[in-house]
Amino acid sequence: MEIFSYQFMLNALIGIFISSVLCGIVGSLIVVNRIVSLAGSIAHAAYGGVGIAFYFGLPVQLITMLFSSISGLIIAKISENSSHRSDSYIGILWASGMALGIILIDLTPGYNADIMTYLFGNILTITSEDLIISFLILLITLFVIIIFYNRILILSFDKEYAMVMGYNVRLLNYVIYVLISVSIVILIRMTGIIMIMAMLTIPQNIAIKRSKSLFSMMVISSILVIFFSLLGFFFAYKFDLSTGATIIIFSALIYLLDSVYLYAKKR
Amino acid sequence: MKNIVEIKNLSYKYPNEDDFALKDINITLSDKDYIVILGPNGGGKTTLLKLILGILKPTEGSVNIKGKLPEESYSSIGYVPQQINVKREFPITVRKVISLGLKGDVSKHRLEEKLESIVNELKLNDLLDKRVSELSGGQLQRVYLARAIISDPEILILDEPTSNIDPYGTFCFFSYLEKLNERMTIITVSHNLNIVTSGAKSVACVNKILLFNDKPVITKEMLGLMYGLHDAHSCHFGHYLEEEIEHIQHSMGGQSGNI
Ligand SMILES: Nc1ncnc2c1ncn2[C@@H]1O[C@H](COP(=O)(O)OP(=O)(O)OP(=O)(O)O)[C@@H](O)[C@H]1O
Ligand SMILES: [Mg+2]
Repeated sequence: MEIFSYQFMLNALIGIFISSVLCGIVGSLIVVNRIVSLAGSIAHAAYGGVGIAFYFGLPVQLITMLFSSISGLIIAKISENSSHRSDSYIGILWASGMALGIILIDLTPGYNADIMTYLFGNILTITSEDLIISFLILLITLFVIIIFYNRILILSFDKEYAMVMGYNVRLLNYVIYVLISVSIVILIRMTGIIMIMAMLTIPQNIAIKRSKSLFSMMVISSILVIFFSLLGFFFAYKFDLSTGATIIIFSALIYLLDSVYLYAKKR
Repeated sequence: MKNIVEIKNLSYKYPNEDDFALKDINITLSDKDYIVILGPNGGGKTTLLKLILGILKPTEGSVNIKGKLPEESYSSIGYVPQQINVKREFPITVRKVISLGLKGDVSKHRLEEKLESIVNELKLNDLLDKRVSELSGGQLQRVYLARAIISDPEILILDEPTSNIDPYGTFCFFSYLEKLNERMTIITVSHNLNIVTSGAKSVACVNKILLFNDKPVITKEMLGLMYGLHDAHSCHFGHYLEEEIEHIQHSMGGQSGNI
């Protein structure tokens, strides 16, 4: 029993570590590209992917990643052509993806408690298989960021200039959206669909005020996410609270303190 | 003189819009030209620049840069945007913004060298390690100019580069452009009529259609096109503008011809 729970704990900690680094990187991209609500809609629509996987009995993680990548690409395509209307489409995707998931899970025989994991997160349920997938995604993300750092930087800072530089802006955008979509699916384990946006924005907003480069923003965000997650995780464990919610509450509190501190410093 | 920019029967309509933003534009610029593009708000100046840059694709007609398509010529163009959508919160330093202007692989040593000379020229030394969020609008415009010219482009394209610069700064800026013009072709949009007599070699006026004058002189037809004043004399503002232009041209030595 001891060893069994030890294994659980170890998996959870590795999971937290991988998710946090991903969260720091991808969240920074989301914040500097000002696509927070878009990321929110991808996260919620991902529930459609969860529904499809349960209904057809397919591997949940992979199917959800595929589903959210496709919805991310659709949104990217739409906002490319009519950026001024994309926030409506974001709303539509947000709710209809979620609805699809709910209906399909209604239709799936037998109540599956695992569903709650997707909505509210539970890092303790992470399996070794999930860990391997997460690790692979982290490696791919790091690879893409390192190889295309300057291009991603230019595109995020000044899209028009990226076009003038002759970059394939469309393709680069698609790559970023797929990275975001896939990473979101991994992060869902930690905080759940409902609370994921906090982890993708709070640490990044603390970091952005202290960074002189996108790279340092990513590093600082990642460290903050690791810190918040571990804090929340152990606190939740000790007092038997929901892990995801505890992590978020700690992040929000620290963000609040930081904002007050910065405000007071300016005076 | 070889043609460096050739625009033929160019028309452009934004997707989902009914009306053309530009209609039947024709201009040819030769090497080391310096053209000022004037026109009212919404006249299509930025649209025209974006077509030359290859950011937008012509609905009809063609744009040629040294015989190639704009998107094949990006390495020979420097661009200073009309900074409407600057992400000020972005974590990036002035040094990085400027160095992003260098195209292709550049050694660290070469980068430092280039950076130093451009920064001295544009007096940006004190700003190098600041974040863009700490700059004023005029400072940012100079930073963008530095980014555009650090790669020594053959063509420099500017969209209202002095809109945030004070009068003395504007004066210096114009003489700097004149100096740059010895090295590169310049295409600039401006609302400042003074620029026409500060070294420009030709003028165009855009308001959906384009009028071109191969001398740095604003014609009455241009005033009419710009402000819809078909009889410029009959209107107070038209009269004021003409006086203004005469005054500017007079103070330059009175020649309404070549410089
Ligand atoms: N992305 C867009 N989609 C649809 N219409 C546009 C778009 N951008 C510009 N327009 C329209 O095209 C016309 C020309 O706009 P443009 O920005 O080229 O004007 P401008 O001459 O640069 O004006 P300003 O002096 O205000 O900068 C305007 O009527 C404008 O409303
Ligand atoms: Mg404009």
